[in-house]
Amino acid sequence: MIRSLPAWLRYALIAVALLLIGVPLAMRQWYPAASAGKQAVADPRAAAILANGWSELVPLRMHLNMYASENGEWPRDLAVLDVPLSGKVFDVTSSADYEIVATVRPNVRYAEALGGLRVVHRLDPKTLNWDCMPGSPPLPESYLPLNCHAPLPPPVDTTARWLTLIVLGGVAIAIGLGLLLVLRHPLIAPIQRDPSRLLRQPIGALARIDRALGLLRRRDDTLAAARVQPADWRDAIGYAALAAEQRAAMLALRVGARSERASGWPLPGDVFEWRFPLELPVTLERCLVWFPPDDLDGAQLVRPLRQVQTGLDVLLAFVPAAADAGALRAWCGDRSNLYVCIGVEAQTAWLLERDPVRVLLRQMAQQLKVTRISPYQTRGGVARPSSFFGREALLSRVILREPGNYLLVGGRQLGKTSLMKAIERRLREHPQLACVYVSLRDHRLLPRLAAQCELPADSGLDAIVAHLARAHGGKRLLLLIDEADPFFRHDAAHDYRELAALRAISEEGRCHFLLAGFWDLYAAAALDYQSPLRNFGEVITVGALEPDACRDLATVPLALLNLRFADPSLVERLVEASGRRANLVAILCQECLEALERGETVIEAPHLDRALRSQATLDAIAGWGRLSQDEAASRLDRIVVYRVAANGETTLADIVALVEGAGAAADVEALRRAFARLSLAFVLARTDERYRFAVPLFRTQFEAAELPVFLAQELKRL
Amino acid sequence: MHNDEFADLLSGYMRRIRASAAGVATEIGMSREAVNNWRQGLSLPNRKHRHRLLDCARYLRLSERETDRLLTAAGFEPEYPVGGQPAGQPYAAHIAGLFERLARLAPYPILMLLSQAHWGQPPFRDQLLATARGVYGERAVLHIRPPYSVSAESRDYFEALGAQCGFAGVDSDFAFEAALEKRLAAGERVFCLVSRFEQGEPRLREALAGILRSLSEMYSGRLHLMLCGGEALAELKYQSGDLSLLNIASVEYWPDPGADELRDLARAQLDPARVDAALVARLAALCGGHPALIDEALRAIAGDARLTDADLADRLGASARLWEGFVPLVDDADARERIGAWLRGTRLGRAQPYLLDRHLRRLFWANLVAVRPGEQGAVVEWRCDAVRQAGLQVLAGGAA
Repeated sequence: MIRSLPAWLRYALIAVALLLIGVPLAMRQWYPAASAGKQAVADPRAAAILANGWSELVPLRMHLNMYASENGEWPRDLAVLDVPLSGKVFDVTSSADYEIVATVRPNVRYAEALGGLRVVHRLDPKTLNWDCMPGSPPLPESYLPLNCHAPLPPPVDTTARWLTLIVLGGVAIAIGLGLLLVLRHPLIAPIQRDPSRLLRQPIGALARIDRALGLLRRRDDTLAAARVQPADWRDAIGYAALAAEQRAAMLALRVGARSERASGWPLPGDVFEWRFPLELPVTLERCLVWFPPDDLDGAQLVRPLRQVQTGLDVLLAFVPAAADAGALRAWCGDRSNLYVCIGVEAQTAWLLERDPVRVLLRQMAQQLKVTRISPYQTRGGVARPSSFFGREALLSRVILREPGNYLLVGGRQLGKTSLMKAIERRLREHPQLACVYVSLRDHRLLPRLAAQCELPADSGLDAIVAHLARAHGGKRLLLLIDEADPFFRHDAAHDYRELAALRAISEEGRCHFLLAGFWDLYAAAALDYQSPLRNFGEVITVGALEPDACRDLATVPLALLNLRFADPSLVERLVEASGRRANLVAILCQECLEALERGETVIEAPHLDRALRSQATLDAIAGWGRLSQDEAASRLDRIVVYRVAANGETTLADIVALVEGAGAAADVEALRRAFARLSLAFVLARTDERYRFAVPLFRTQFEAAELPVFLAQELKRL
Repeated sequence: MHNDEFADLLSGYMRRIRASAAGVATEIGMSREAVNNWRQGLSLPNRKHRHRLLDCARYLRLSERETDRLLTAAGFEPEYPVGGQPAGQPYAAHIAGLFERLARLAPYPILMLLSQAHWGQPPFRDQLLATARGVYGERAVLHIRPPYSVSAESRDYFEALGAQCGFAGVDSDFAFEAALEKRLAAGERVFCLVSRFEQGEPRLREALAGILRSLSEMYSGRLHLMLCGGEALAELKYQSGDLSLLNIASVEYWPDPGADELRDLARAQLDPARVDAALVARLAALCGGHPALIDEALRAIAGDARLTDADLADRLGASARLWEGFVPLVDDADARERIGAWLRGTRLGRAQPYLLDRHLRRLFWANLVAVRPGEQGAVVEWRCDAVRQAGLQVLAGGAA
């Protein structure tokens, strides 16, 4: 209720309360209620006894009045008055002129505790009036008669007393208001209670907060507690006053983007195009950024957006500092469009948080379809470092050793290109070694290299290597040659002439090669005893991803968008179903994201079930029917696959028996190659002598009823 | 009359690319005399040779509309009765969605758009290109139509591609690559629609795929590709696997028309006042989403408003397009047995991105079967009763 009062009234009430409570606490002696508690409570029986005692003193005081009046002096001895000096309650003596001391007798019934305590009565010789006060030791005030009280302290000047009171009260109020400023100030107080709130303040309020923190001398401590760098704080304070171009540049710099002014957009204010680096952990390569004019407000912010056609680009709309962004927020909250409202609080977080990319991702995840900015790359070589997990052992084999030649073999979409790109990234800063990646598009290696170096198409390997070495400051070269199968097929048909040139140049130590491919490369390197590839380099096989890397691949990118799996067992199920094939893990996660309904942030079992049945998943495991250029070899592959699909597993002996049972001659060597090819393609995995599907999901392609038909068709054609 | 129109069209199309009668004859597997007779108006292609005329249209690099015109002039039904219609049609939302999904395929925005027979490759190409221009900008849209030829030289092939893209001085694959790379290196985002990607000589197609893949990788996210095709393109992806461009492409199939699409298609041929929910339901039930049957049904209804469902079903079952679709598929005993068994049953099998059964696959690409949702996931079904009726008639005719 008190919050509903005007601020000035609240402050006044608090000041009055402080005055009423603080002053009495500080100056209790002037506050009757505060001292009342000090009075002892009188025993009624003792009080009654003492009341009798006071009567005993009355005759003595009367005689002393008369004596003083008649003689003008105090009697030398009270005995001359002929009045009893000891009664039932008091013994009376005179210690000075005009003064008698009444001492409570010991052992007075009900007043034993008061024995020996005294009361002093003084006679004013001029007026002949008596004063009464506690003696020494004093009788408690509660037992004294009404006209009897302790002597007042020396009189104090009233003006000084009030001045003191005002000064002390003022000090108390100042202290109170100071505390109030810290504890109740709408800007400072929440930050003092929770410094991380500094990151969620409107960008336009930062300058005021800075002044207040400076006055309170709390700036450094608050920034430290909020984990804000002073330089970032200074930038953020100045941000609101900058021109749009400078603001765009400052914000872009914090997320590593390149900002360029974009023209031709029918939007008021300033529009920029940002290009993001590969390091951005989501699939967003560029976006548009809009800074509306400061005078646009409310629905005016939305109207231009309704008319603009941004194509497929995400547009970040930065709300002006003083604008009411409710309508814009509501518009951008509709996930069917590609607009993201960056409010004034988010702009502060962007400029102050240690990881501004997370701020950007959070905003996008809240306002866009998650799949629009998916952190998973499901196809092709992984270029973003944040999407590459595991393979550390394989990377170490290439990176940590002396440069040499390598043959990287594995099936399609198993991660060869991703591994090569990871090698290229890791070696980018190497002091002695330069890495050059080239992807072949047909059998022509040298013309391709020449084209990449902008040399004449007929340049020889020596000239190309010399050019590359010069271009890389004389460093030794490691050429990463991707998609090398057509090259090997062609070179094998021409007596490995080009391969011999590669070998010669690598033996000179000028350049080494890492060649990636599938079956032709593997067959030449591992199965062809005459091939010069046999001793050309070390063979590295790319297969399943490590289990931990699979789990990381499934969970780490999700966390970037504040999403997660409901249960770790779901992650295990996903990894197992994928057979630890990296791109399948990514596809399944991507499909889980697709299955999430609006507002859902937790992946549950039904989402995973849908992902496992999705078209994208089935598509990823299709396409194994012709792994070799040789149709007869591909037919053997299909026979083996259908057999495993029908029986769950197979062996070489089983396939030999099957082929011979169909009346065909079994070529054991060809069958061995088929098993090797299917294993390399990650279709089959071998345990002892038995082969099963490497990816459990693979089995879902087949229907039990159609397998005998397929098998019979293939066997018939042998 | 027909002879003259067909002869004029064929001669005009041949003159346009300077094709000789001998060249055409070699490409389509006919004699030079036969082609010369067509050109001179002395004869028309035999009914059995419709597919050869389709090969001829591809070789002559005809658009869907030109192909249909040539087929009609030869007395055949058009191949693309629906997909060649002008823009403003029902698939606009689907086309917009295609571009939205393409953008999400970063860092390699490569989409394979597969369509069954009687849809263009791609369907509604003009609408697709118009949408692309709206999304990417006029200058950023390239349209590649690989020349169809079994004997094309690399120089001619890439010269043609260069001309289609507006690149000057392209005389080799490297020159084509350099011209495209120049635009990407300048920071441009380029959208490239490749119609009928699979057609042409494999070596040259491989070179084109290699260039596109290599530039996609080098200029990650800047080259947006939509590769359009049908059966042959699917075979290249799922069977061959040699073209890594296709391995990293995402696949989409052109969808069957829904109620909205059927309504708009009907409005294009009938008085809009006659197009109501009942008509749409009738088209859906009787045509099963087959674009050519929809076209035939609409023409039949336009001609006779009192046509009953039974009459219409009979007429569709006797469609020449269905007959032409079935005949090449039942050319061996094995196929006849298998397809015959399916024609007598209801369910043909479970749907897969790539159907493992060769016969089922051929039926799918001939657009005689459709993938539809089932209780246990998507299944393959006959498109409609008219298709089954036509299949049974073809098998019965063959047996007879």
